[in-house]
Amino acid sequence: MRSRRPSFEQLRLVACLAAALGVQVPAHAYTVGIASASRSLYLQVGVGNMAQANPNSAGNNTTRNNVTVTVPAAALFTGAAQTMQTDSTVTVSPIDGAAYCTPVGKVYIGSFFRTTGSSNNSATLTVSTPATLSSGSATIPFSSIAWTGTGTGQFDSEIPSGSFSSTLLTLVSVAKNTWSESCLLFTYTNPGIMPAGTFTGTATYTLTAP
Amino acid sequence: MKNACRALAAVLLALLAVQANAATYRVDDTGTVVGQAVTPMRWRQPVPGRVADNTIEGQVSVALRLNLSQWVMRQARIYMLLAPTENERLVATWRTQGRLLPGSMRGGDRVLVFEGVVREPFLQETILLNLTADGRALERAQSLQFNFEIEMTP
Repeated sequence: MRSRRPSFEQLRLVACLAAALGVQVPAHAYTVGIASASRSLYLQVGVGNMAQANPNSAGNNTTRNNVTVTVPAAALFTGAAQTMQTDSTVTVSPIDGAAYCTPVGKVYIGSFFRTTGSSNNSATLTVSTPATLSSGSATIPFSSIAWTGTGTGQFDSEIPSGSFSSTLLTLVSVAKNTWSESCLLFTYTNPGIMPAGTFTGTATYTLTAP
Repeated sequence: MKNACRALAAVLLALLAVQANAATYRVDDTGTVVGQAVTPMRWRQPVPGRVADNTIEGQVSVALRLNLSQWVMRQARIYMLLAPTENERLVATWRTQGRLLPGSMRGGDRVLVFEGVVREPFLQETILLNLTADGRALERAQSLQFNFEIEMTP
């Protein structure tokens, strides 16, 4: 049987080859690791915390702005829509300070979704309400409150006109890396005969990102 | 066998001679220290504006140590190379302390950083790398591979 052990001459040839190739010095390369930028999500309904275009100043603002109307006696049972007022005083855009939601009386809603990646992800703005506004045991339907988008100047509201319902409403899709702005004027539709009282309810806006 | 070894050595020397004519070599940069293992990239405009700017940027210093001992007192050009990157809009710009040239490059580029006579066996220089990219195209961490080549000039 023939031996597979290399002969001395073969080993010398390999050694000769290795010595000859040994002049090729392996070169190092330095590596810089980079991490993608962080994601951020921001929603402001009425008064917010963020100073103009400064996300570091943003934080949770616990203020709940009110939208109210007192229906005058003369308007009762007429079906004439009643414009509502708000205690939100936001009339300029937090993007750049441009006059946007003027005059006072409308509710500013702004949001953005900052994210990396090339997929067409977008955030979704929704609003939820109970079925009714309540005054003690008396109720009126939340759907009796409607809104119209009234952005000022070149910037139109992105949230289309609509009205509340007892279900979760999708208001607008917020494209990634863009700022979505709306300025809503609320109205009480004043439908038919309603019980007397001061009726309250809460609408909760939620921005959700994938 | 001795003849075979001589023949092989001759072939290899001939190959090396060809390489010497081409006169381009990878530079050993062992000892180079990157300021931080991972450079966090940040949005240039953290809040999207009316005009879209989706640039992200990061900075890192790199203490270079190039072993030029084989080419001392030789006229040479040294190039920095950046291997192709996943994000084709990534741009690396650097400032130097004067021993190397400042410049800018994208993945796949080869940029001149030195031209002259190599005076010392080790060239040490600290550069400040400024990295910019399109944030929308940089979804995960990446490694950027830089290396150096030296080219003998006649």
